Amino acid sequence: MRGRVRQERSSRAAGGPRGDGGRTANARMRRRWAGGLGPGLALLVSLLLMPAREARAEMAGAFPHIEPWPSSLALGGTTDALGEGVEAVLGNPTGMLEGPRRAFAFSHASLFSGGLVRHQAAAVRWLKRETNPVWEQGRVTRTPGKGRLAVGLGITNLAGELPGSDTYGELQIALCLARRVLLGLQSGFRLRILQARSSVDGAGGGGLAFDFGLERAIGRARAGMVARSVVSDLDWDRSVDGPLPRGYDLGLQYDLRLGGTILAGASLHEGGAVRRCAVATSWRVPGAPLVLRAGPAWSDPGGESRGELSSGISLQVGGLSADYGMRTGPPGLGEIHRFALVASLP
Amino acid sequence: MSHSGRIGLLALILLSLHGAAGGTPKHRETLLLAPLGRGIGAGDTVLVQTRWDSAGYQVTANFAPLDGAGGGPVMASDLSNGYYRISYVTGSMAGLSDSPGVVIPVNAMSRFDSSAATYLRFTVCRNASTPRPEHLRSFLRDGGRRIYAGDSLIVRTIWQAAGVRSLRVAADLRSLVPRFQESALTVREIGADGAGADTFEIAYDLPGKSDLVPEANGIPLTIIGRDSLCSDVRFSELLIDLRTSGPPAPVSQRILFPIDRGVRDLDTLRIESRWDSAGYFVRADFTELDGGTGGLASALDEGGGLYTIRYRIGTIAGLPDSAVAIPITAVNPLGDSFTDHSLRACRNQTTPPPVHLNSALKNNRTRYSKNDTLVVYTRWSSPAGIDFSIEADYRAIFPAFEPSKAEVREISPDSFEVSYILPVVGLAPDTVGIPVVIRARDARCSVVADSTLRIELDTTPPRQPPVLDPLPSETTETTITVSGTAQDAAWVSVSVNGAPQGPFAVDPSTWRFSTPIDLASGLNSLISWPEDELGNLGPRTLEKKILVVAGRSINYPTPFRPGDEFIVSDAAGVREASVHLYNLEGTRVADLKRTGNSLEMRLRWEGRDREGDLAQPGYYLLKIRSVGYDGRAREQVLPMLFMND
Repeated sequence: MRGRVRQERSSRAAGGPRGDGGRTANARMRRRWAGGLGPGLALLVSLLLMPAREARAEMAGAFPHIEPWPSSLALGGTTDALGEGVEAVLGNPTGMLEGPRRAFAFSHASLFSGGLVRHQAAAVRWLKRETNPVWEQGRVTRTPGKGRLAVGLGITNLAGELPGSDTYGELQIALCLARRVLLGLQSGFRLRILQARSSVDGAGGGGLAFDFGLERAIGRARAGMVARSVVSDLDWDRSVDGPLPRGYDLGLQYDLRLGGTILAGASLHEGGAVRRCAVATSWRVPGAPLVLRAGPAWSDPGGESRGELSSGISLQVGGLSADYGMRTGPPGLGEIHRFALVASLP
Repeated sequence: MSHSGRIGLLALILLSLHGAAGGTPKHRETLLLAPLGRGIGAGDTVLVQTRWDSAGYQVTANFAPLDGAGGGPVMASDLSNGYYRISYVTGSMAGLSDSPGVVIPVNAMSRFDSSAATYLRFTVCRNASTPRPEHLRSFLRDGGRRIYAGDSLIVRTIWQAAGVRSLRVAADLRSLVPRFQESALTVREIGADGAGADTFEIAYDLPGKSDLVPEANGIPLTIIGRDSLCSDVRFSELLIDLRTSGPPAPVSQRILFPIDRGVRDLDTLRIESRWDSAGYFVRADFTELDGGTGGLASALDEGGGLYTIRYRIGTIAGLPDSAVAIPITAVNPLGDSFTDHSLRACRNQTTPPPVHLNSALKNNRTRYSKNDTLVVYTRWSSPAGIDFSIEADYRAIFPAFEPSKAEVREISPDSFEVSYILPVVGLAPDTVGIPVVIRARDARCSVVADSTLRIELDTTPPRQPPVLDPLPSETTETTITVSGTAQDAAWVSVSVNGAPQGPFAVDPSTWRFSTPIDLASGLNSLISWPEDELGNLGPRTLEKKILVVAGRSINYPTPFRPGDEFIVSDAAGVREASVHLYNLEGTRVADLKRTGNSLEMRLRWEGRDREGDLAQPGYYLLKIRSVGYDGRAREQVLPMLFMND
């Protein structure tokens, strides 16, 4: 990396084509965003500022927000608004613009004790990067730059047991798009196709939900936000139809030296009340393919106001990563344990 | 005396004169002395006496409002000591209507200071033409003239009320009740006839003897008729006879001799006669018994209401054997009398008494204790073939025994069953050989007793409570074995939650017992006690609590809808049940709680979250917590599918 920086500086100093060509490409890109995404942003802002919907419970029922990856679980949910790589497909889709070009991930979790609920998630992501022409050794070569556009596909499956031999399941298919926009902002959109099914007569349904995310890096810090179910609709076979309760995730990350990262995040109900807030730290062990994660969280401050403890570990070998994360749950309900495998390709 | 001394003496005299009749006169009272009991009519001499704070005032009254005459104020004569009297003869009053409120101005003025005057308004009645009430007749409603202390005195009084203005009737009973108050009277109008006579009823509850005058005859009562024109007509010729005590009241009469047979020729009959008081003249009438041939029956006042009568029977030979009444009459000093016909005696010259044949105890049981039923079978016959009755006399067993408490049942004309439940308290001390006395009483006053039967009383219970083997504090079984040792007991009973079970036999060789006991679900209270073979109950053990814990299963519908219930069945022993609903984000959505003591607890959920909003449909986890009476909690986590239609 140091070598590359040196090379870029040397090319600027040499007055090579990188500078002009870069300014031309950036200007073109800005015009494109201004013409194409400006109205989209306005639409999103107007959606976010829509008046509150009719009085409905803010607490989730079907299709709850569940951290789909061990890393987000181990970090207390602080990365829900700061996803990175393929894991951002089911988190903050803007994070898809970071990380390797192609990646695939799968996770499995047992929610709380007793094995009543199982949750699986799978995601795949393609990233298109900017290419930076570099004058190197007397000729122009193109090196990969920042992510410019990313698309992702994610699937989650929730399976719960019911008394007797009945079952209940929720399937979500997420289609994501992330692009870099103005002023260093990254934006992402996610469309979720919702499908609930059950062996109980009349307990099925389906619908759509639309999520939106923003993220910006400032030096060694990053700040992100996700608005979940900004627009949604869910039709039940035999229940009251309606939208899912909105939710908001806020996150802040700061990279320390020696591989350390501290994070803080909060998850809000539709009305703005805090559902969870957490701080966490992640530490890449120097000289070892290990990443350790841990942090406390405070959940349901309006109700039980209980504390939680999260922790996890990742083992990374080449392009493969095996993750584990856990978090304590409400008293008497037990813990959540999640495992994942992530494969990355250059 | 010096010049200054003379001036001071003069000033002192003037001041004293000014103090005697100077300053503003202060009124004390003003009374109408005549006419009284009626309004003032034409030509009446009105006499008014008025009292002020001092003599020496110039007191005047103006009677012009009364009779319309214009003679001006009438000066009062000073009677000294502040008393003044005014006399005035009324004029014709022509053209003036009768009125109960004619105001006579009266004023008093100091002789030394004409500006110091006091004016007052004195009200009188003017009655020149309205008739006064006229008493026609009064009498006691219930007739006669005798009344007793504590009685209700009810007087009916009839008045001529034609033309009378607002007739009211009252009575003055101070001749009867020194502290009488008119407000205690109840007066009501009974009716009126066409001739203008109104009938009233005056009721008064006479107090006790202590608040009345001594009893006497001819006490006058005063009946009063009043109208609104100051008429106060009194009638005092209603006379009554007051009695502060009633006629003699009998208490009991019984024959002291002969007591177990009828009377015969030349017997001296002795009678005990009890009345409510001493001082009566008591006599018995033996005419029906012997034709009165025995002479006078002398009654001796023994004091305290006890009188004894001795009477020597005349010749009754030739009269048939039979039971006859002996009337006993008591007369008090005022002449009130009462005759008691309850005493009966028998003439019995020849009729033989009943004959006892045999008696036996039921099941030949001879040992008895408290609350046992003593049953005696007894057979008797009457040689004369006359009726006889059987009665028990168990005073040797129970000193306070009353024959009427023993039930006698006739099995056949000569066989009887006598049953008696021995009381719990008051039995004779534990004794062997207590006589059981059965009596036969025939219609000729013959009484024959038999006491051949003997019983034993044993009321001593075991002295120690049972010693129970260890019992569990909590169990899932509803039947447990209770065992232990019960010294000197034949039986052991066990009470479970107040319901006795048993008694269970105790092995007399080891004093051990063992028995299965049924428990109820939940908290059980066990108490046991020993019992000897006669049923005497020994002391109880301390209360032992055993908790029967059942399954505590919970049922609820799938899908759950608003208004459905979580049903905690087998909730015996459960003091409190609560259900907490969590969504899969780990947020507690709702809490339900129920306390109670029943086999089934129901917790209804209306589908509302903690904020009161209708919860979202979806998958939830239930944390069900049940707390037993021993404080132990049990938790379960169960899934639930909620649909909010």
